Amino acid sequence: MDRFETRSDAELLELSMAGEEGAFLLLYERLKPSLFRYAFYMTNSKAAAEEVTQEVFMSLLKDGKRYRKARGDVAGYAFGIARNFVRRIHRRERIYQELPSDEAPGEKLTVGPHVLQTDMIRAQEIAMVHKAIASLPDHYRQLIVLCDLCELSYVEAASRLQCAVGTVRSRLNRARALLLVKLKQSRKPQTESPTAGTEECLI
Amino acid sequence: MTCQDLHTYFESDRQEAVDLLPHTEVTEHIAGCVDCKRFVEEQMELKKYLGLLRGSVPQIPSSLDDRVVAKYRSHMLERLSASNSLSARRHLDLRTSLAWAAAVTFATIVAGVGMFVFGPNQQIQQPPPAHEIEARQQTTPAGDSTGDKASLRPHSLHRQTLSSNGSSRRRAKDTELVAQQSSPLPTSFEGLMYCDQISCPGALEVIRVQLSAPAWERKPGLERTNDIVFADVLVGPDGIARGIRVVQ
Repeated sequence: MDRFETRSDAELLELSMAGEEGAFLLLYERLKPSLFRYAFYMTNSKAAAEEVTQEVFMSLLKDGKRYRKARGDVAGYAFGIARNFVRRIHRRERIYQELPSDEAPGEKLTVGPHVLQTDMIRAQEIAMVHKAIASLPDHYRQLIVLCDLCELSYVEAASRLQCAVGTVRSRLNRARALLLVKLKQSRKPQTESPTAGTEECLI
Repeated sequence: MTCQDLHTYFESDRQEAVDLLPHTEVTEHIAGCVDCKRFVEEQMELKKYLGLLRGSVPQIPSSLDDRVVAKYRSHMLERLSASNSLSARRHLDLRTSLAWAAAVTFATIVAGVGMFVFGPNQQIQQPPPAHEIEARQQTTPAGDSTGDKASLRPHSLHRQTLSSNGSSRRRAKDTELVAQQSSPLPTSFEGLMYCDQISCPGALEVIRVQLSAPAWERKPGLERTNDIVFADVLVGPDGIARGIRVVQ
């Protein structure tokens, strides 16, 4: 694999399609973390993130000939494939509507009795943020995930989404503002829950 | 620092803006501006939540790596076998094409030969000219009347067979073609019955016979004499006389 270290992603892709397993492994190691993270943030599911990551690499092998250097780097191309798979998963999962429940966000997380209270609060908060992000429109969600979670620069995000940097900036600000609103809304039931007065106390 | 400046910092790069917060200029502005203070607090809170989420990414399981590598290998194997089968199919296609071409060529040759051998047009042969027959006749000794048999081939000596599976139109055409041919009898002979290449197949033989007086007297244009009259009779292979020539 070391002999491929100096190769670019595009060259690695070409070699991978030609049957060089070492080149494929190196390309996989380079792209895997960002793809997995992106898929995980977008789907909030580890299994779905694994599925997306795997399918992206299979698609790269099958349709890698369609890649054109002039249109961007391999990471961007792979990201485009990942985005399509994520959308497909969303469409697939849409038919399974979540039943409304009285559970607070994060309660569905499986936690063992050994988990400390702080961990539970943390897990609840994470679930709440996940839910808030998932409720954002797709074009806002993509930017939050890419810039704030995957920590891409505005320029990189713009190249991934094939739009102008200015568009990324303005959309991201609106996305953050909207996310804050959503987070406030999800916190409200907890903070503004009516406290029982002494007259309602059973003891 | 103005409110606009602070917002611009956060819009351009949040991390950079957060790094700027400890600066005295920013701190003083936040302390004096309620809106900016709330804005910065919200941004910090959002940063905290997103940081929580960022840290919640599970480890990529090694089973995923194994699956991807296994998929890669199986994909490569499939592609290899597919390319092998494709080349084998191409080879097979070439062989099949060659076999078909050879079969078609052979069938064409057989049909051509069949047409040449059995075809009606090929069977018709032009009769030898009349002067040749006469010349042959003259070489025959006149006195050798009993055993003198000169074999003549006035027309087609082959059997006349029309294609049994030919259409009626073709048969009619052939018949017409045959009828257009000149009479197979030499010109010096007088026909005793209708004779063409179909009805008079085979070689004709010349037999010299002596005619009785009443026989030749009936022939118009002949003078009545007391001499013995000989005649050459053309007899077909079926024994039927086809033509006659009086030799006085």
